[in-house]
Amino acid sequence: MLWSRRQVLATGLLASASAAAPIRTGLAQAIEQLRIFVPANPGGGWDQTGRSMEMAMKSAGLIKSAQITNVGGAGGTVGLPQFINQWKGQGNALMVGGMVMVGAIIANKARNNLTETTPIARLTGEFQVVVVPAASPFRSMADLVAAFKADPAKVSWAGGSAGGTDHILAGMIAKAAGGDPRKVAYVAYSGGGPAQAALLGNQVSCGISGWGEFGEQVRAGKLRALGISADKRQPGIDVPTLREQGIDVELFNWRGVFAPPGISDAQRQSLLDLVDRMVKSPAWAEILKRYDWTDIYLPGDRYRAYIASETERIHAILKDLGLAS
Amino acid sequence: MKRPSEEAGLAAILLAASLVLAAITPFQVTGGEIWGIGSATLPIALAVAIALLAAWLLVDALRNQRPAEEPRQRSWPIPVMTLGLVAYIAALPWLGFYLSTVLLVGGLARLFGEGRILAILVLALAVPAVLLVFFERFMIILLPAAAWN
Amino acid sequence: MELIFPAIGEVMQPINLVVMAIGLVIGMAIGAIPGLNVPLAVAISLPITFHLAPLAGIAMLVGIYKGGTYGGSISAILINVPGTPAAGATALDGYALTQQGHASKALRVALYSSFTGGLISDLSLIMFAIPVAMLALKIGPAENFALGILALTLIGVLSEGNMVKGLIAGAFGILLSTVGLDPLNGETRLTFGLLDLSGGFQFISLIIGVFAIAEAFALAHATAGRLVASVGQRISAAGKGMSAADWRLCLPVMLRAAPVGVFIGAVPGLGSAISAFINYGIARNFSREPEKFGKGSLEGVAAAESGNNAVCGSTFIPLLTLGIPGDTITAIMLGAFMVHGLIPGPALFTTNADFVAAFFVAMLVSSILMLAIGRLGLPLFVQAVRIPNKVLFPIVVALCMTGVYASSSSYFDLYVMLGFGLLGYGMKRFGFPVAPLLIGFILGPIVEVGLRQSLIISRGSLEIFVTRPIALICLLLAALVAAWVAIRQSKGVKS
Repeated sequence: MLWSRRQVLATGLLASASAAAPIRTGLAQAIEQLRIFVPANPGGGWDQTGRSMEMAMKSAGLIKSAQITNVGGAGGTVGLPQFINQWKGQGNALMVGGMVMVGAIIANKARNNLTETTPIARLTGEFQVVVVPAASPFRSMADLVAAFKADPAKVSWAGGSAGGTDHILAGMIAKAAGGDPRKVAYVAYSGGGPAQAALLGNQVSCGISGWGEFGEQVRAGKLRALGISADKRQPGIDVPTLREQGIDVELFNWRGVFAPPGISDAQRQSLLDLVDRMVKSPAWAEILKRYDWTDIYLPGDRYRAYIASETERIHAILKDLGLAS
Repeated sequence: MKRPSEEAGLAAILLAASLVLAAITPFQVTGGEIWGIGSATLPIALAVAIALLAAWLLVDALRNQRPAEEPRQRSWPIPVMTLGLVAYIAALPWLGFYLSTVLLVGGLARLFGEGRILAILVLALAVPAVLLVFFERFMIILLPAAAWN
Repeated sequence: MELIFPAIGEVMQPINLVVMAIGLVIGMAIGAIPGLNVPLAVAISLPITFHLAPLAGIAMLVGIYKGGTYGGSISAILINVPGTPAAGATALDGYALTQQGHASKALRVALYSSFTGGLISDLSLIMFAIPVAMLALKIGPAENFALGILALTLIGVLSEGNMVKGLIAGAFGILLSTVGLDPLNGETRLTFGLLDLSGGFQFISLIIGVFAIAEAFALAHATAGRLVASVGQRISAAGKGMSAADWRLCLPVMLRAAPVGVFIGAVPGLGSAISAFINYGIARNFSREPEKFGKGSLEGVAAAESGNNAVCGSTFIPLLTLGIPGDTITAIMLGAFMVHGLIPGPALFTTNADFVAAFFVAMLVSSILMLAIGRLGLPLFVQAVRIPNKVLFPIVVALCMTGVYASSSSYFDLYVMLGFGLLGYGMKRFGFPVAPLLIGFILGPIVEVGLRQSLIISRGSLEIFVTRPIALICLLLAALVAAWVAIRQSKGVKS
């Protein structure tokens, strides 16, 4: 890798000394004051990720303090140009982002994209779940898909913003089942709350959201989960995957962090190092459990490659949905 | 004595602007329609509604040529203050929050009628300092730094 | 019920009261400062509450929430800076009252209305949570559309005397709300290629612009750089408290606004700004002195503040009974509950009944504590009117610039605020009312999204608005109100 021998040595030494001196002030590349850029308003998933990172890093003694800047709007595409242009070269900054941003960049025809940043690591993922109201006649994905193919307009799908993860999954399911993704009668709600209310009030046929959003309602028996978009069955969740039911679709709503463009290799390395230590800290494990996030840590160059392939994949789906050209 | 024609002028501008908006919006929005309503439907409907109302206002203003209640006053403070605020916002990324805001507060205090140099000075130096400490220290929100920092 | 008494004992522990009071003070400060909002304060404080016991942590968040909802009114009344979007409705009359020398009275009306609205909301949460939640679940896109249309008729109510200009302002407000990404298909519209506009206009830039910045322009026009004597033209006497006649005028308004606010709070996706403005419009419609609205009506302040705070308790109804967070704040609170191992939803009432009881008591106690802290602080807040305009307004403009920048770290939003300042100044000079503009801006999306969602669900059939009873009733009521306004207007023109 890109590690110089001195860095390895220094890191090793400090790691052993870290119990005594929690702040690594000796290392030139150590980051005391981290700046976290959240391209969303306070309260959402990215904001939670940013604030959780601050907590985990502080309690693991990796940083002294963090400053969080929220710039919300349009799936992160309002904040992204600001991060790329105004935060350029800042070696102590990280932006939270994820799959939603990849979609928003394509759908909004944004001028900047994620390849202009310095990808640091993919951190967490959340699989999606397809649910129906408890009183719905649909018992399995097969029922739902059959009804969709018979008359797409009769099946309304509730979910989050247009072109977001939920919409993307609806399109993928429609396509995998041999239907027309453009015909999906997708009802975009302003958030998970209103979408849940629509489902509990029997106003829509089915709904899609992250497991974290709908899980409790499923456990309480208010909603019936038909399938999850994970690659395999999840421990403690008695819901079959979409694949098991013959729908060849897998989707994780992943979140990760990015550094600004124009930082030095040493700065990039110290950010990689910082995130790596955070991911391995007990505080982070605690947070993952607390929020039901799946650990899908993927650092550095492999993350960069992953973003490239995700961009291609999501572009194709958005095209199918008629949301991108 | 220019009041009525001023209102008529405003109504005419509104009418023209809303008609232009209604005309160009369909070309700005490319998305399709679902059940007859697309992204452009509401904006166009509103622009047309404003145009109709503005036409009404125009006819009304031309018919009722009321005498003006008061003669027009000096109008320079509005453009001056607008330019000042634009200059302030433009200066923020260069001069930084503190210096720009010192100039803003000092300038506004003079514009709003403060004549004592000492009072202006104290106000201009203290207010940005308090804001800076409050936002950066307590709220942990960074304000613009000067370009040379 | 037998759980209530131990719950009172638990909530009354000094530590809980102290953190709640701290939360209230933080909330009031954040609420009063433009650009800093309650969701941000709650998000920042959340990690602190993890170190507290579950009840203390949640008591603190409740304090911030309630204090923040009330705090916006203080700056709205005293310096024409609505600290929160909902306080815009308060500023419409509150600042006029301050200019007339009634700051103290206006602040009192705001405080007592906030308390009354909040208390009724808490009691509704405790007593009628289940039926209100069931009613809220019946509100879908069709009902949202119909409710929005009904509320938009208030533009007519608020434009009486100047119907054409009021309707133009209202239509323009809706038009402004459509700028940015179309929520239904992600299409950008009316952005004219400006990427900064793809997120639409921030309500905070609009409201600070048309109130505070516009007022600063008016002041610049009035003084035009001439030196003003050091004892300002602002009325230095803060005025007296509320008289018995004021109470007779305002109490019915508060009591009428509260249930409307409770209902709006319980429907996921609406919120306090909508409640404040709708109640302001309703109050004008029922008032015996509608002509005073916008020029310093105590009823206007009472309706806006009672309606605004009546949302606070009832937003917890869908959260606690169904596990549905209705807005950003309850979504963050949901996280706080879960962190402490409390999973909102019907099961919470059986598995953690003692905690639910304690939470209810905490809501009530925080309302009372808010009244006490607000009342103690009142003589202090009112001192702001002693500061002459030439000193106050440079501070106000600097505060607005800083606050709006802080809310989004965007220079663009500052230019937008400046533009809206000019718009507000121009509207005032040419006699366009501001209230319809703001109502159009906040209700436009509800109506448009509601209509288009309904059509997707109903497969293009308009029948959905007839077959769903609540929607039908709202639409009929809207027609009735529109007719009523038209009749009143034509009569007014004749006389």
